[in-house]
Amino acid sequence: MFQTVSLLAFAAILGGILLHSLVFPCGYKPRFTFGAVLRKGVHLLTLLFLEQSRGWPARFRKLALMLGLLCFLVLGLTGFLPLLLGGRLGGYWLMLHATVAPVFIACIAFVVVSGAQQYQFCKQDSNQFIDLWKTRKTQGACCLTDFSGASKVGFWLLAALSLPVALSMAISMTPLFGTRGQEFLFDVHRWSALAFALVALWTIYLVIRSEIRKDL
Amino acid sequence: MLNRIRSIIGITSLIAITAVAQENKLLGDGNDGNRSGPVHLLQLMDENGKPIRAADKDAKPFSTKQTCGQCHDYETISQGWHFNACRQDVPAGRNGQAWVLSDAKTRTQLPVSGRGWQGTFKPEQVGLTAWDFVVAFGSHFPGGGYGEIAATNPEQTIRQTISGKVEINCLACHHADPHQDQSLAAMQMARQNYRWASAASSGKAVINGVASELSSYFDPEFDEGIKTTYKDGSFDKDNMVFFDIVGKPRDRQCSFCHSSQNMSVGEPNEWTRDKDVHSAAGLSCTDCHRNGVNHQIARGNEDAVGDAETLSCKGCHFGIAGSSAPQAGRLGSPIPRHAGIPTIHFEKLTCTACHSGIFPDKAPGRWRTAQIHKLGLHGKHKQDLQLPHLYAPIMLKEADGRIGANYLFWPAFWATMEGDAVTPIPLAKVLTAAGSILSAEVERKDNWRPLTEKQVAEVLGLLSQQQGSKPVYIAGGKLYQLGSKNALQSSAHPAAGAYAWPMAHDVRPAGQSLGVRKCVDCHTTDSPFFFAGVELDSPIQGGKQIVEMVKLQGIDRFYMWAFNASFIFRPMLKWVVFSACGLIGLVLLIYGLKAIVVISNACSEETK
Repeated sequence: MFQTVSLLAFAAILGGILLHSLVFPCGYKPRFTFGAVLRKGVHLLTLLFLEQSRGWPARFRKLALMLGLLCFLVLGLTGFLPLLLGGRLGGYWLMLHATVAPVFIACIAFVVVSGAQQYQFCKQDSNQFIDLWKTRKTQGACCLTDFSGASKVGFWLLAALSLPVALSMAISMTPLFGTRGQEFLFDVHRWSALAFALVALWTIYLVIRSEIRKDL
Repeated sequence: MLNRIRSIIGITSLIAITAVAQENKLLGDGNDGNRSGPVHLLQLMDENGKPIRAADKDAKPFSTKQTCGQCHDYETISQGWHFNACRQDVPAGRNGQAWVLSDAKTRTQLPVSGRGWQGTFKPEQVGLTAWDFVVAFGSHFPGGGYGEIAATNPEQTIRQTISGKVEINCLACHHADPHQDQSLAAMQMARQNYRWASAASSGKAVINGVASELSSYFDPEFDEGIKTTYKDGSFDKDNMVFFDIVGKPRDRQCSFCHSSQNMSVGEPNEWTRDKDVHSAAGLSCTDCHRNGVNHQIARGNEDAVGDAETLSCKGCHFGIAGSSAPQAGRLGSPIPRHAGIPTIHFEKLTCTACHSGIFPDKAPGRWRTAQIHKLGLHGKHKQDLQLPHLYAPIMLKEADGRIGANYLFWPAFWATMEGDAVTPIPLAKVLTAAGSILSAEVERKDNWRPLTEKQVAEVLGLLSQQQGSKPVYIAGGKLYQLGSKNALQSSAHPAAGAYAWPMAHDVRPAGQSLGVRKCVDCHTTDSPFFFAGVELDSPIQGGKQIVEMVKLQGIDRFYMWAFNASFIFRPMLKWVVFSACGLIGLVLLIYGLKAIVVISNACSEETK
């Protein structure tokens, strides 16, 4: 069942992103010109959507975020790809998964600690939401995704979901739970990992989108 | 109307069939629910169905087929697991302990089974007739099956007339009398006194004479043959004989054929061995290995269906998922908690991997079993066989792909090879062709009569003159054959692989199972579970060779080593994860509280 649900969920989220980007394009300029594609590519590769700052804490945060994204990619591939292909996680893939996992959770911890202040909800978020709601027809923006609070929702959701994802496996390595508990923890791990992956994909999309919109 | 007529005909037929079945059901085949069990005061019958009396001048040995068959359906029983190996229509089931055809001269140890288990040869494939089979393996043979097949070879037909057939020895399992002595049955089998074996072992009669020494021209009418003397007091005044028959055989009766001996313990220290944890808890073998009238004994397989489903380790301890009534904890079995053991272990390992045999060691020790090494024979026919060298516990992938504890030995035999197919050469033919080399007296080394590679090449040369196809010798996991210029070459070959079968008992208590000392019981870079060295046992002289368990498991060595090595970092991993989660949790808590404060303030301002 998990395989089917995962397959459908990934299809839904990727389809949703595609549909959303078509219904609510980022700007008025033609979206598929050479320049636009290049610009978006550069955005993606250099993670320019993050604020450029000269301070060491910000540099570390950016490094942690980049490393975290790389780990997310590896964990997603090693965790879901064998499953989606009808197999299961094992062998060298499992070793890679388990090696990257602690790095990933450490990166998340750093990003959460260093970014919590920035991602606090504020009055401005609700004001922007109201503005977007009023101007949604003329601006072509989606009031639900393009207000500043949308990526904050993603940030806090990801922070919260990272706990069951990581703790379920770490606790299963202790002699606290028996077979039934182990099965439960494994289920918690994979379902929360699926939720984490879906929220992460959507949040990344929102961050890219908001950064592109800043350039308009 | 037509349907009604059909129904009536159907019901009538059913009643008629049931009535016939009831009519055929013998006195002992039913069970009215009374648990006290019947007293077995029996009229002894000889093999021709004639009653035996105390006053008979020339008393015949009693026949179990005729005596027990008075009340029990012998034909149904003869299809049971202990007796049906020769039948082609019986599913082979998972690999079990095979008979091992051993011969010191030809340096042969060949797994034989009529069931066609992978890695074994059927008796006919190795040139054994049913008669030969009984001669070779009679000491621990339960009777029936091969023992009741009529000989077709003229010489063997004559011998069978003298010796009789080997009927199922019902008493071997069901006679609880302390006088029941299977060692005596084994002695009668060695003497080819087949029709006398049950009577001799029952403690009711004394047998004198040796059938194998009687001439083929022996005539029972005129010649003095084998004498049966029933012991005083065996018969009552009505010529009935009391047998202490039990429906559930006692453990000592199962143990005669199903014992194993850990050679590293040594005879003087045998007393230090603990028994199976189930026996220690008061269970008997037949509490789990049960059967009905058909004697299809539950083998403890997890894939068993029907009534035997909960008679496996998993079925008994955990019950069957989705069953209408709770089944776990059968017979008072504890429901295992398996704390801290990831569930992947239950997909990759059998229960026996962690719980059976002895705790794995870096060099698996040698074992003997009753059936293969003829243990349990007393007196002048006691044997002290050391070959084949069995090794245990060997952690191997079983038929379902899970790793379990196994017994293992390396087959050794002369064979012919056509394409990739290897067919053993009957021992007599090997001796005929190369007896001059193989029969030479040599000092034994590690129980073997050693062979040099030169001798192997010479024997192969002689066999090639006799055999139509290419002769080979298999030993120590290798296939030897003559190459160009008659040089001996050795290579790996599937037919040279070890023969292994699951080691189910003795089961250790939970406190002594693998994993009780956490992951490091198996997941270290030198753990016996993966990296124990298994001896490549062979009569061919040369350096002692070892193969690692991980290779026998078919797992990539580097992967297993690296995987186990990663456990060094596991404490660090846990520390990182718990610390990171602690920080994230703290941030969530603080900002969550802040959010509550904001909401609270907003609400109070609204109120103002």
